[in-house]
Amino acid sequence: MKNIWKIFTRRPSRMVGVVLLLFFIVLAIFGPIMYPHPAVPNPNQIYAPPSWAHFLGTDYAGRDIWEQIVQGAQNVLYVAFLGALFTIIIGTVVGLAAGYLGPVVDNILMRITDMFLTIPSIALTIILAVTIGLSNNIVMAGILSFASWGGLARAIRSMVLSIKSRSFIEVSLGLGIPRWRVLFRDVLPNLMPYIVVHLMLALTSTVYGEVGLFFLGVVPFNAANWGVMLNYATGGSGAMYSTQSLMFLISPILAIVLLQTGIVLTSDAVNAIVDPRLREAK
Amino acid sequence: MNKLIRRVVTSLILIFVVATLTFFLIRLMPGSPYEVLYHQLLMKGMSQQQAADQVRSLLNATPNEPVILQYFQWVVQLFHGSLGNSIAQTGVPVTQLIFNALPWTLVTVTMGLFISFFIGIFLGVISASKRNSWVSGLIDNASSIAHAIPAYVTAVALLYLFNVVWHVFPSSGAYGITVYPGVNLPFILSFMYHMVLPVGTYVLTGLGSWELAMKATTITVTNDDFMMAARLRGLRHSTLMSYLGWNSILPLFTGFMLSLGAMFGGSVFIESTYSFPGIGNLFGAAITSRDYPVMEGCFLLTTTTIIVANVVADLMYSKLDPRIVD
Repeated sequence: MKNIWKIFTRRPSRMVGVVLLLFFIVLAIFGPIMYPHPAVPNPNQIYAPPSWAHFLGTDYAGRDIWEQIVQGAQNVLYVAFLGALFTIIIGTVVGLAAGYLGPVVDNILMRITDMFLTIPSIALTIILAVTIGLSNNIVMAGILSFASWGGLARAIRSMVLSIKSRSFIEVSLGLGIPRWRVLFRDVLPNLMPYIVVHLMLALTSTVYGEVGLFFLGVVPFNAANWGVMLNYATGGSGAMYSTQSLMFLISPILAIVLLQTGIVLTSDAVNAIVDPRLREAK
Repeated sequence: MNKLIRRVVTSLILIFVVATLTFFLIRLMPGSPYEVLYHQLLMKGMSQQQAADQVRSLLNATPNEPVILQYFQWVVQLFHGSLGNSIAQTGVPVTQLIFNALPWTLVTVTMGLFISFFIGIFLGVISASKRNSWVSGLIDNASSIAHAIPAYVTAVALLYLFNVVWHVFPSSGAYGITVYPGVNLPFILSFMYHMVLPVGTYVLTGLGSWELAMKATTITVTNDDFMMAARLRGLRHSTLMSYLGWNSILPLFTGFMLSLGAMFGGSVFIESTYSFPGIGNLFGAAITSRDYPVMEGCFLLTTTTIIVANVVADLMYSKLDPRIVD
């Protein structure tokens, strides 16, 4: 516990990151309780400046911007976490299978992984989103993870190969401990630090992809999302070209930037916590 | 030489597999644009034969044939260098649209890649040499955050700052209306002026990964035995730095070619925001109008670019780094 505290005090930016990420998680959890209904348009208050009633002002239809940001947080974070989780699961399973099940499986799985690594992931995600159609959040998370597990699978595979040749694994196998038991008791725990750090990285890329799909307008606009706000701000509402509506443009931008900053700085902290070699160095 | 042939053949197969997968993905989905048009024509009172002929002449597809036959026709077409016709701009060949858009993207992406590479390397070396001070932490965090911020957010922010708040750079297009495209000075100047914001976005979103990679390799190389030996031999500082520089940059080279593909993907967001007439914009427009042949073509082109870049990177890498024996 003391060590963890030291990691945070050594670089205050890590603390900032955790606070930012926690802030958005709190918004995502309590947002639907605070604002259970969609924001109400008010034609008398179009592009109102920030005030006590409207924390961040109002948008082109007189809706409260803060309310929309809060409602968007839930959707963004939920899909991002789910997508990152899927990415980690697919990547880990493929990597473990390729590294652990022998050269034939390895060859087949690595050819497939290579293919996914060469296909541009953003383009593939968009094509899948358009052709499959996004009916709900789970499908969306699945599509986001489908194109982005390649790097992790590759890294896990090479780590499994190097761990497999270490003596403690040979001893375990030599003692007659079943292969599956060795895999889950000895190999996987050694990979855990890397997987946890990669979860944070996957989170930034799923946020990127998810908000991007909404921003491009690929997805039907039925959810409250920061991408939808940014799309309206830059496109239809003309908020981009008027100085009056600055808050409507800047709010989704700030939300995305702060969320990504929080994730990146937290991942720095997580990295320092799970990797003992980094604990001594700065 | 043998290796070269094998690489080229496997790449061609890979390109073909990707093309086939996109073909089936798009054809087998319910409500494909061919069927939609076919049924629209049927509802207008055409006979089945007439409607099928109409779809065939407009979109170069035959909806009432089995998919496998359509696939063979498509393969034959592909080998003749045709990707079919656009749906949104009815009758225009996809290849023509792509070749009109490609040069713009190619130039901006290459510029962005080079600039972000050099800035990233510079920052990486600084961060590695000041490893134990706050400077390193600042550079690392700033680069990873710049990398994590989505390209469309950076693009919108830059556009707002430099076009709306300060009227410095143009908001759309690749060149002004007063110049004529060609090899002449006014056009080149106008093009470069319009290029500043898109290239700036590529640089801002791209340099982070270079910075982190360069820092990692520089630290590894500094601790290498040969660097220690060079230091013990009392070589001049500039010689040491050139050893260090070259050996740290080498491992980044494969990533350099690979990121070309990632930037092509990112161009969807960047070019849509700046209305820049490149591949990304074409792809973005094709998505919003559900123009499947154009989508297929752009996707195929992007994938092919990456695969070719990969092969080139591999071959050049074994030439650049004599330690790699093929």
